[in-house]
Amino acid sequence: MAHNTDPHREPEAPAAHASGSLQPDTPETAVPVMPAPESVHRWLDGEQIPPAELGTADAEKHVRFWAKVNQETERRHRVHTPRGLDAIIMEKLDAPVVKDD
Amino acid sequence: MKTQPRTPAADAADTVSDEEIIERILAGHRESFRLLVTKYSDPLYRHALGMTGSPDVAEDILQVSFIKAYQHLGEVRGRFDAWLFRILANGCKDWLKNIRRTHVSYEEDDQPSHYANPDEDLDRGELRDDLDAALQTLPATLREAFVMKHVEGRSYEEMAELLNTTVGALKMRVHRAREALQALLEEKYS
Repeated sequence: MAHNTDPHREPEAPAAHASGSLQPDTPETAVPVMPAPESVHRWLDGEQIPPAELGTADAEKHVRFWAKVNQETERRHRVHTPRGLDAIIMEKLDAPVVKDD
Repeated sequence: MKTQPRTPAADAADTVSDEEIIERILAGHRESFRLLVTKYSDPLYRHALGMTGSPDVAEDILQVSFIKAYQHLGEVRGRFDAWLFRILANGCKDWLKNIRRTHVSYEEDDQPSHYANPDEDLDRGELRDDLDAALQTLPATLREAFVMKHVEGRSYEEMAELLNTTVGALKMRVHRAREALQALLEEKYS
């Protein structure tokens, strides 16, 4: 697999694109019919939000939606590396290590 | 969900600093590298899995990243975990670029489940697949931000340090990623 893992390579600048053309930091993407209010985003960011703010008719459906998605993302958060992968990696470490002093 | 008991290597990795471990490896104690693999493989695997959507590809990128890190260990400056993360994150982005350029799509149907409990797998399978499909439509920067925030559970400050950008820019990316995902999934899951 082609895989550039140059450890000195900086993370891609947000505006850099493979073609070299400029892209905005957040490319155009779809938006929901009714975008979530800011309080919902702050709640998703982990802030303590007064229940009244999340219980409005506007916010409630977004909270319900994200509660479902969060169940899935939390499950993914508990996924572990497949068993035995550490042994496979250790077996493949055949290149010599040179101290660069 | 696969669960693994704590291993002696995991306990050891928690009590010794990365710098100390690296010194040992560079002094010829190759086996000490296992401590770094044990310490960082789970969060890095989650990142690769979230970015690629494929367990096989995530494993491949994880392996290549650790091997590359081992080969260049003498060049580490600053935090090892951030350096290692960048190797893996670049590997994920390279894979995404290649897969888009060649218009190859992978099928996950024959991949092993991410979860150990078959009942949970059945119940959650649809949302899992739909979320994977929706994530794959996002630009890499938005997908990366969403995965780091929502799947890896990192703070914006930590993300900013790892990605060398600002908290404000990352909040905007996560916000945009949420909007895009909701636009794709809300009809079915609202």
